[in-house]
Amino acid sequence: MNRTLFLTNLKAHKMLFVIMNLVLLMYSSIMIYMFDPETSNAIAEMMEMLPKGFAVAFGFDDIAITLTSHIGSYLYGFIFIVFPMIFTVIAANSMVAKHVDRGSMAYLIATPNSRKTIIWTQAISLITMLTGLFVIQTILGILMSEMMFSGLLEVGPYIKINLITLLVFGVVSGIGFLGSCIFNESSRSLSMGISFPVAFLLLKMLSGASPDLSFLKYFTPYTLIDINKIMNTGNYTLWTSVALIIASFLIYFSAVTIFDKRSLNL
Amino acid sequence: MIKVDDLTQIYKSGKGIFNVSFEIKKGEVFGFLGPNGAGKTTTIRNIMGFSNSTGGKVTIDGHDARVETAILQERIGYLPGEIAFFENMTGMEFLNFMGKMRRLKNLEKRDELINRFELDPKGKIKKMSKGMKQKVGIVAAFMHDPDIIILDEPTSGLDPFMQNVFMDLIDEEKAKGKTIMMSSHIFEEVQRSCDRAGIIREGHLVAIEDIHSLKAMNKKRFKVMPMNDESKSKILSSDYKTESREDGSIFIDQNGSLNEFFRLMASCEIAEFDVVTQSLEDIFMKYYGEEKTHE
Repeated sequence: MNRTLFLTNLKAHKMLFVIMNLVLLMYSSIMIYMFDPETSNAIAEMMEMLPKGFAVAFGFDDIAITLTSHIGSYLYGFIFIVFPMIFTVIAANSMVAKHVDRGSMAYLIATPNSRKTIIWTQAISLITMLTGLFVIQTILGILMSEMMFSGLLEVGPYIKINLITLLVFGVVSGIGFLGSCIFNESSRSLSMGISFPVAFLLLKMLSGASPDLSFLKYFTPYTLIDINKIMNTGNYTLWTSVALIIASFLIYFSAVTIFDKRSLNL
Repeated sequence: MIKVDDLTQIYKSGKGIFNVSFEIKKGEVFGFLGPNGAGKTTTIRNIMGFSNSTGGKVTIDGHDARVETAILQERIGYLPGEIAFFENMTGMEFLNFMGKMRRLKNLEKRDELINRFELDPKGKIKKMSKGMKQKVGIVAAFMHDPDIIILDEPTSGLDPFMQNVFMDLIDEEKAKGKTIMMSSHIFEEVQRSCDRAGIIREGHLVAIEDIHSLKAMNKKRFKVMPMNDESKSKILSSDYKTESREDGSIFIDQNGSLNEFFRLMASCEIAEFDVVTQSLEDIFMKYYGEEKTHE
């Protein structure tokens, strides 16, 4: 890990990071504001009127009764998947493939730092920013909930929801990063970085849309952001976290190894 | 010091470099000449340890260039052929960044180079002209005072004055005993500062010559425009190899004594007189035969 490169990466993605935080803040503030303990039953009734598949496809499937499950189902079913996904796709590509495509990677590996050091630094930069995004949003979420509905948020489960979502993005960003390390052209790296997360999202939506398609949930990591299980099943968060951390590490490790061994035309 | 041993790298297109072998001695300035697309950059990529060769290898002081890259980079200064920096950095930010990546403490040489090349490092690199970017690259390649300097087409983008400043820098570094390799497609550049030159053509190293024999190859060609027929026939009937053009001008290949040549010129009425700069292509055409020069 190279500190200079790490700080340069953070600086280079400052704008993207701020914008993503603002977008997420906008959605989460609206969603939390919309929570009304009185009418949450009314919302539940309204949901019943929608075609079942439609509601499930957009993640509005759990009938939200508490503030925590309200946030969990309205935000972490779609918004907190789509925007971190966009962030991940852009950042993963710019960490490696963009430098290779543009040729600036030549400067990095012409310094007395091994390729492994350089690429691990890029990986850690990406993971740090992603973690930062979720930490900031979790803190903001808690603050907003306390301001608007003091005492209603179950902080523990809320943090767990964020943790699992973050760790799922460990895997999703790993796939983007792998693409970034494999391909010479930004365009190819981007298409790998985009197609997997989007396919995962579509699979999640389809799996909820009809019972016949529910088997599709086994093919997308977003299924693991299961608000019910996180909130109600004892060791779910622990074991899911362990599995996701191992999976992410393996993906990142292979990305770094592949980059270290490959031939670069810089 | 730098040993390129039977190096082969074949790209998917079938192009590449084939069984290239040469050695650069310590303290030597080695020119690497060849037209665009001949394989200069491919060879340099292997010396820098960027590429995995299809066959053969490069060693620098006995260290494998691809395996022990990080250790070797302590001692190498490199100027890439294509300028690509970090977007949105200013020249100074980039040089600071590179300095820190190299754990460089002494910034004297960097600042001296900035002055010497009249580089204004305050602007964003993205907005800089090609020549200014090239200067940033040159400063980055030399600022840590490396023993080994690898330069891929170093003078491209520089104006003639800056090319001279650069050539003076090369002479100084050479005097300090640095080992320098520079690729170029311009003959004069290599002729001026190199001890030896390798000539690469379509991926094959066609010759390694010391610079004196290369100079001998680079015969001068002049273009003259005689004012009258008398002068014209005088030139055409001389011993020199000549070529008449439709516009009335004559191309003369001069070799041997310059005195004799100018005596002939002085005896003629001439409207125009020009030195024809010979491209590397022309030199190849003359000295390595037709079959090697077709594209």
